[in-house]
Amino acid sequence: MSVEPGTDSRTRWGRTRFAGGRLPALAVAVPAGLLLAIGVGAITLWTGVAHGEHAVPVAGVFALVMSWGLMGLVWALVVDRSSLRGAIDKPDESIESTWLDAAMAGAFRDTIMLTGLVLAIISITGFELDVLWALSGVLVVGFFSTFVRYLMAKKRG
Amino acid sequence: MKNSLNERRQERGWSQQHLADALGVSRQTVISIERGRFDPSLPLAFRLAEVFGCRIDELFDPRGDGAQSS
Repeated sequence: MSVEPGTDSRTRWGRTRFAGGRLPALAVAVPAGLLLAIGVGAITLWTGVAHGEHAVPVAGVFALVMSWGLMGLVWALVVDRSSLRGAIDKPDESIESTWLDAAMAGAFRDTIMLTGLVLAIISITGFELDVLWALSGVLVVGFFSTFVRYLMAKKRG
Repeated sequence: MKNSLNERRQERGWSQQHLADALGVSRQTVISIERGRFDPSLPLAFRLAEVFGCRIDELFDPRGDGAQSS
């Protein structure tokens, strides 16, 4: 049930949730993330994002920039969270889980209301909004609302 | 919900972190239960009763809000 102080063998970056948890999560995340980043670089070359002598450097920069995010993404997918140092055994029964559930439910309502409001304004004014900005806005509103609501719940205790 | 968590924990000389580790939850969860701001799930209530060696209804009193002050 509990881990006695000083006996916690869990690590900062945890272990994988498969292969019996024998592999450190980073041992999977780093090579897999790098491979995916090389793939992104190859796609950049293939789709002709940059031409001529700039094509290879641009693909390299794309791969380099994406590599950190992709390694992080793979790590988040493969890590067994219970193997992280300081992780609690029953996160779903902790109050933080309740805060997050309430924050996400509230953020969903906020997103629906704001999207509806913006849609009404756009349809009345005839303003044209690029779909890329619109979808990005929906994402930002959702994340921001969740973040603020979680902090408010935490402050209320 | 009123409860006697704080009194029972202090009787045993346990810190909130010690109790949280024994229950497998965060320290903030213990703080919120003691203040009566968070009602634990049934499995967590059973673990609390087991940790303190008593029945659930000896720990929690559904007739009032907030932590027991006595």
